[in-house]
Amino acid sequence: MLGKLIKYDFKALSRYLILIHIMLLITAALGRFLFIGKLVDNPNSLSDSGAIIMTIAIMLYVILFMTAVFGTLLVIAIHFYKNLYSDEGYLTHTLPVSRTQLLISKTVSGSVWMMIDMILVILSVLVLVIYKPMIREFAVHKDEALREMGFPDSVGYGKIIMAFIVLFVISAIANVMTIYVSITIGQLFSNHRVLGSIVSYFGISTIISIISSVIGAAYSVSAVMKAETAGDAYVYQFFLKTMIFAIILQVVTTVVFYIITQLLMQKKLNLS
Amino acid sequence: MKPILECYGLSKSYGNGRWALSNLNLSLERGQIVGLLGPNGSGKTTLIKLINDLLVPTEGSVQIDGILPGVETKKIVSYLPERTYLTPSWKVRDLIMYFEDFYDNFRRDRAEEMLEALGIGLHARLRTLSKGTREKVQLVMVMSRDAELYILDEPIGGVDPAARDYILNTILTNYNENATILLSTHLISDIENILDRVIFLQNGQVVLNASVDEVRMEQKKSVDMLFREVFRC
Repeated sequence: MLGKLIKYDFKALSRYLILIHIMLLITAALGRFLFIGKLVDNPNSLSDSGAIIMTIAIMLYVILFMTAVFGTLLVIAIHFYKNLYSDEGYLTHTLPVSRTQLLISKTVSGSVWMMIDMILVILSVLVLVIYKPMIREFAVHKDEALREMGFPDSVGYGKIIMAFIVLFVISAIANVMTIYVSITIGQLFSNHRVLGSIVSYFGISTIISIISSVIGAAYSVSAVMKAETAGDAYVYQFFLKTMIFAIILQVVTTVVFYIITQLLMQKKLNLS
Repeated sequence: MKPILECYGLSKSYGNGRWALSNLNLSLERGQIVGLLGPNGSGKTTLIKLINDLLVPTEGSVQIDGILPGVETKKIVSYLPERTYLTPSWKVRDLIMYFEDFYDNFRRDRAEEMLEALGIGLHARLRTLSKGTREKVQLVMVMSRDAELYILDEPIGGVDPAARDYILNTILTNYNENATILLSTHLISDIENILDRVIFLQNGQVVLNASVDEVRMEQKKSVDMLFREVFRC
């Protein structure tokens, strides 16, 4: 049953998201071949009218970029709300499946789309700006670059990339759970469900960012005070600890949000 | 066999000091069509939502086939809410596939037969259908399950009299004799003939639970007349 739920949730999300992301990639590719690529080969090739068209194209790309990023959040949020708390909820909540299965299905489908979105957005940027000389330059100086950033040679790019991937997966899930818990709290305000959800979302995000910046600041101050004795590995230590802190914070909030959502869905469901 | 539906001291308050249901006790035997009748705000929809696990009781409990509402009861209860729960972008056949995927007791051939009789195409997009047609589609889906308890909340409210006849007929011909139908409506005279039993709700309590024959024999009144008398404003 969980598999079927996930299938239908993916179907619903993909309806809009596939289209948005294909358009983003196409625009990035066009921008690359029509403008950026030519400009790299020959910086003086751009005429006045060409510059105007290029500006328009860049604006189009930026708009699509924003649409993809915010559209993904919005589509996930709307699907969750509609499927569980609007009239559609009368069908969803009377399917012979548990609330846990409903929520897991929503979490899996939402998080996976969130990750796909991040990957495709990054890919579109790479498509647009990466060109061969840049890669060549980087290949030559990559160890130096790492050292410049303050990492000891022993760390290597592999570990750094791994750390970012872990953070990336966890923050996708955390983002989705923040949306879900906000909507589930919001629908308790039976006359202002949508407003309630939006207010909850910003309230929760604010609290989380206050917590993380307060702890982060306290941590930076203590780190700076120790800096003199820290030596070479200092930046690396700082990076590592910040990373671990971010991951722990996200895991804890995700688990707490999941439990709250599940409990409220179980005990306080009230379809209008 | 256990009664299909039992309520013990069932109470529900929405937290505003008013009780939508208060200490309701009820037991329904299998194999009958039961009318759940009462004025607006008498607690009909609250009771129906509690049976379908869409609300949690404040006090007391409800059991379907001896089990508390949950995954197992949802397999045997087929529920038609008063709201339209259809996803507008779907086609009728998407909905059929959805029901087939989730309900083991869904009979696709029965659904297709009824839809054909009502002149509703499988490739029609739900968004393009009229409100009445959508209600018909929903009722067809609900009645195409071999459920043990059907709960129909205002099943004929929004459809024309001709379709109403077809739907009532559908209900009568499609339910097997061990199944129970709990039907809530305001249009009492239209459905009076198919009811075996009536339950009158008022202020969240049962004020009458009698078979239609009893009402007719003892009170010498139709259910409709009795309703107007009991709930006179």
